[in-house]
Amino acid sequence: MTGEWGYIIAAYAVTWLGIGGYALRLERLTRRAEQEYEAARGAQRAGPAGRQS
Amino acid sequence: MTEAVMERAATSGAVPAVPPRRPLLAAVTLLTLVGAELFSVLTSPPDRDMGNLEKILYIHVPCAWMAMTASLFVFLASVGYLWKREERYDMIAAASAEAGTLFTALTVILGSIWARPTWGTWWTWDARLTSTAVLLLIYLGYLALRAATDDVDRRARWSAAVGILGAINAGIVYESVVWWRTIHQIQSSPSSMGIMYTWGLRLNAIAMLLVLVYFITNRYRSFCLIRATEMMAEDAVLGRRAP
Repeated sequence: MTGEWGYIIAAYAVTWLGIGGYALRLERLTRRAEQEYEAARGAQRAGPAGRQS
Repeated sequence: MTEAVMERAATSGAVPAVPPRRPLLAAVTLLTLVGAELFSVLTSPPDRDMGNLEKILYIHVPCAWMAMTASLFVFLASVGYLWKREERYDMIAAASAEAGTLFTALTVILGSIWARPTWGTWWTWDARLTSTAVLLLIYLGYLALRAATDDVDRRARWSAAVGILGAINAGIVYESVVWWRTIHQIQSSPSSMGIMYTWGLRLNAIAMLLVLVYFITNRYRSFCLIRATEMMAEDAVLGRRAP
């Protein structure tokens, strides 16, 4: 079958782009959520005085 | 602003504990995926009819299985939410739906890449293809609905209804090749395939299952973090102190 490897390479490339792209997006999202969570926890521990400063 | 926060705080339940990071799962998933793909691509002989294009099926078929598995998780978590009204079930359903959207999209694209040289067309309105496209639309609708609704309880209830609808459609996707005999082949079984093809599929299915589990657990963790942060902000507005 002529050119069949082009289709095979395209299929594996799409799979890795899809899975890798979503994994990276998820990693960025989780890191940002972690930072915001830690900041909110710090502010909550500090109480109203800590939040004002 | 304060009234809206108070209303939301009154309607939503307790936030589930934030699960830990799982770096070992990430490493095992990556290694298994690379190993399974290398094994299947390098060891499987060309098929009598489709030649080397059978190598696409080692990723297309497991992606389709994971799309169905994700819809089962969405279904179970959606029923769990409607029954128990615990927010963690809604988060599991949403995390599963996101991963399900990815796997369904990959299934459609990979199937299309495989179909072009074997069937001579990128797309045909075959029952299996059409019902899979409908599943993708339901998943996208599910995500759009969540993005458009701020109220936690209403968003969870509406999402659960769409999630259950998606799972019903996933059943139709599975049976479509039996109910409507069109161009897509019926389900294969180990008895209808050579041992190398069977093992290639099994290993890639395990690898994709690990990918699915990794995506769902990681996304669930981020949902917990976001919700916990929101609730701490609500506490701050309401003047509640940390315990």
